[in-house]
Amino acid sequence: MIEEKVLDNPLLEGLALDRHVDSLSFVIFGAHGDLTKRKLVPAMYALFLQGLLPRGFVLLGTSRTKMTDDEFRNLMRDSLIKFAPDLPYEEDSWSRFATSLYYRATDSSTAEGYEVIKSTLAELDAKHGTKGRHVFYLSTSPSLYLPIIKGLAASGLVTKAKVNEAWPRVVIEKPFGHDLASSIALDESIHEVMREHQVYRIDHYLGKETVQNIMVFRFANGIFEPLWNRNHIDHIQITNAETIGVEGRGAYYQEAGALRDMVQNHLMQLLALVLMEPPISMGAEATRDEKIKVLRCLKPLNPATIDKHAVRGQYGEGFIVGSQVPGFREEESVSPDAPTPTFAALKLEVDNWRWAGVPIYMRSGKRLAKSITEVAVHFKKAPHRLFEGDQGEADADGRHDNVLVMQIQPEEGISLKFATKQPGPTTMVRWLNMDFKYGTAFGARTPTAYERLILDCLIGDPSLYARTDFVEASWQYIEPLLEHWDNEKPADFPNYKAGSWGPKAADDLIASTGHAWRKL
Amino acid sequence: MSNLPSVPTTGLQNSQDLQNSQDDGRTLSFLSGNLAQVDVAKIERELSRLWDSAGRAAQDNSAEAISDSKSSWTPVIRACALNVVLLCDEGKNEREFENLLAEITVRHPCRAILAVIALAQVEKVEAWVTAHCHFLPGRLDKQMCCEQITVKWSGQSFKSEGLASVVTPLVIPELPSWLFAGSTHLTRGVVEPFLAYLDHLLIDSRFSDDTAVCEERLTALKSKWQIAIDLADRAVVVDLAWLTLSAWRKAIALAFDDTDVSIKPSRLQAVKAITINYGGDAKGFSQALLLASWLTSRIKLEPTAASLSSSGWQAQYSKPGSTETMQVNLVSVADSCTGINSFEMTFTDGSDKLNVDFVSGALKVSNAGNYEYMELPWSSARDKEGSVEPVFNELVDFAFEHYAKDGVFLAAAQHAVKLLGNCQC
Repeated sequence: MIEEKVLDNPLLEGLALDRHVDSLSFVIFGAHGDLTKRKLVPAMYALFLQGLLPRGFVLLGTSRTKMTDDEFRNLMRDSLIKFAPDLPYEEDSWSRFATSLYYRATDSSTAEGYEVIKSTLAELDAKHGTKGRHVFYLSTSPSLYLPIIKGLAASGLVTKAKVNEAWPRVVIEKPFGHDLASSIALDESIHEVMREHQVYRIDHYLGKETVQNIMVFRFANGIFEPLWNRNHIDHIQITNAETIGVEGRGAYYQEAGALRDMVQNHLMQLLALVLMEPPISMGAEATRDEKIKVLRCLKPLNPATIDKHAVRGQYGEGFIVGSQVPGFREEESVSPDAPTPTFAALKLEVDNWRWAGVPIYMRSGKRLAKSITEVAVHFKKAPHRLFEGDQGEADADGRHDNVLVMQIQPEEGISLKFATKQPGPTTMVRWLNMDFKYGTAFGARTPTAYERLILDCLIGDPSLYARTDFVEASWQYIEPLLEHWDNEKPADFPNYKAGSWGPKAADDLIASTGHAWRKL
Repeated sequence: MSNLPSVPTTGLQNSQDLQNSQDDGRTLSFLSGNLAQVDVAKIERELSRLWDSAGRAAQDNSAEAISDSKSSWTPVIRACALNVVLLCDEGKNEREFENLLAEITVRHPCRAILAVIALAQVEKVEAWVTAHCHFLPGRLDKQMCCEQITVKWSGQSFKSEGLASVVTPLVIPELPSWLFAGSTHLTRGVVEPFLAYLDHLLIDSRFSDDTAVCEERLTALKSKWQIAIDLADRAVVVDLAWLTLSAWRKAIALAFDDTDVSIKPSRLQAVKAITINYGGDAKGFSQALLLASWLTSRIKLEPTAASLSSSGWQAQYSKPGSTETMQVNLVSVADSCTGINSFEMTFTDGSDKLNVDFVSGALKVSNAGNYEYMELPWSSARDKEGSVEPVFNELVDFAFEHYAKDGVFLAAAQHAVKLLGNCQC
């Protein structure tokens, strides 16, 4: 698209235009909520400090809570100071930013609410020169997505744009549906009033530097991609472990569980980035086209053998970093006999030329021993054990494997485990990690995931947002598992202690193919 | 993404701990930013020893910290992602560059080499090492340290090969490497011996001797851009003056795109005149000339004549296959911001008039009553009345983070050189 422009306009050549943001209004539904305070407004402020927001910019917050503009501004300022300590808060900068913040208390279930938003936006368009360009961010309960989208459409604030028109845009937070059917129904309703290119389904994992770095690491380095296949890779482990419990979201989590909360979205996105073929370009659709192909290659889960491929767990009471914590069923707003899995482990198989026969293990759980998210690629071992005296932890045959680990959180980085000779008069082998940490390799502050994703939305680049077919394919893959677990109520819950690494069945699952979970 | 305010450089926070270490305080001095003289032939060895000593002190103090909660040890991390060689003169120039290095290392972990040229009776080469340490963003438990090597060449006449033979072996292989030559040393003969090992050359065509007579100033300016053109096949050449123009170029280019002041790109063939007002005398002149040369090179006009007088600079360009000409006026505005202050473009039929003005810390692009604001990419200039220019350090940051070979710059520099060749004072 840029190249065509250059042909028309010779002045554009050599300019970094892809990050240009037009003047616009950014409307947040659920502006009194935690996400707005902790993530959205700090991200906006960071963009403002970096000069990435246009001069004509308005942030209009709305929710049921009654507040004046000034009260909203003060609330956001206090939240910024509290939740974004890495951002330099300066009175002068904040004051200039705050002049773009507005708030209207509305009831999104009534037509009047949308009329208030509409008239306010018209007023602010005139005042700030935002020219009718609107982004609507739904930071609300998922049950309100559809009513809000319908309300926006009925009021004329959201219309079906032509293919080459970019406005208005709507950002939706996960979960995108509760299962396959509800996801399809949600999409159908959305597409009645908007085109797909107007919909931005946010998965904040995709905004993380390390997640974006997976593609750079794979496709900008010549040395890894030739090894990135079944000939050299033994298996892959994707781990998402959290020490926290449901943190006041008991009612939501009881309905969602680990599969819906983490696996269907975040971990599937990670999986796709690790396994995908190189895209033909960095264009928004090229990458998303390749990612969806990965999900389509996943061997469907067969209800008859599903228990050999998936394990669920629920935490009981235990200790986390020295503090005693309750079990899931004792958490606030959780039923005492809730069958919700707070842990899930899966063994996936990929039916394609590159990955046939390479097991992919995935685990995600709450109240585990440590908070860590990583992708570990285990390479095949050296074919012959030449050196005696390997130190450290080895397999039963005394051999190690090279492991490439892409760390997503808490510290973002990459490490490679390799063998080296221990100094001394012997040929003793030591296995060491070569570490790269984002935090120390670059002096600059690492932008948050929301900064990157919001900026992309303002620019109109959906590359890092989930496309409808990906969401649907992801639901399609886990649907048999959701049904199976719904039908077969767990008899052994809770089956792991808070502060452990999950149920024993998860260890058995990975051991069944001769592997073991990484000790993290 | 580094436009956020920087983390202050701190110096080492472990003084008491390191004073107790076993190297007579040499490691402490090194990590605290003090220059320690070393044998020129053993610079690498001495650096290894000092880092090794710092590492051992860290281990000792970590162990101590377990038993003594009062220990003030903060671990240091040696970091290096690029090489930066600064070529400068002894004295004021040297101090300015030392300060620049202290700033650069906050955001760009690097091996910094300060190559100093001193005039003296006796020819000799000396070396010093030190480190720049600062806390990691948002963390007070770790410090990142970069090493600085100062190599001073003294003598009656400067021999670039001699200094380069000490400096270039110190460049860490496989990392991007930058050479910034201070104004007086930006000659091909001085720079070339370094470019065998360094792949980026940073120049600043804004620096000029304001007291020099017109011909000398123009010759010096022409020489800088000629060096950039000549060496472009051996290194990525970055002119900081060019970087300061990025916002102006974007604002002008987008006026011919699908923004609110949209003028059809075909109208570029009907440009009648351009007027650029600038401040800062010679410094601003190089920017104004480069901006005009960018525009004329992009729309393929040929310079025919130019003259420089007290009222400013006038140049005529011809349009290929046409008898029409285009006029460029570069006007120095007294008591205004350094750099470009405003840009005006008129067209042959008078129907459009494009203006770009520096207003309230941003660029206001307007045409026929429509306007749009463009934010400046510089946090040091943004929203500050009376300052359109980024601070020097921010420009250097920008160069390190974003710069690649730029054919558009080279074309503009070639156009400027051609025009300067036709200029009468």
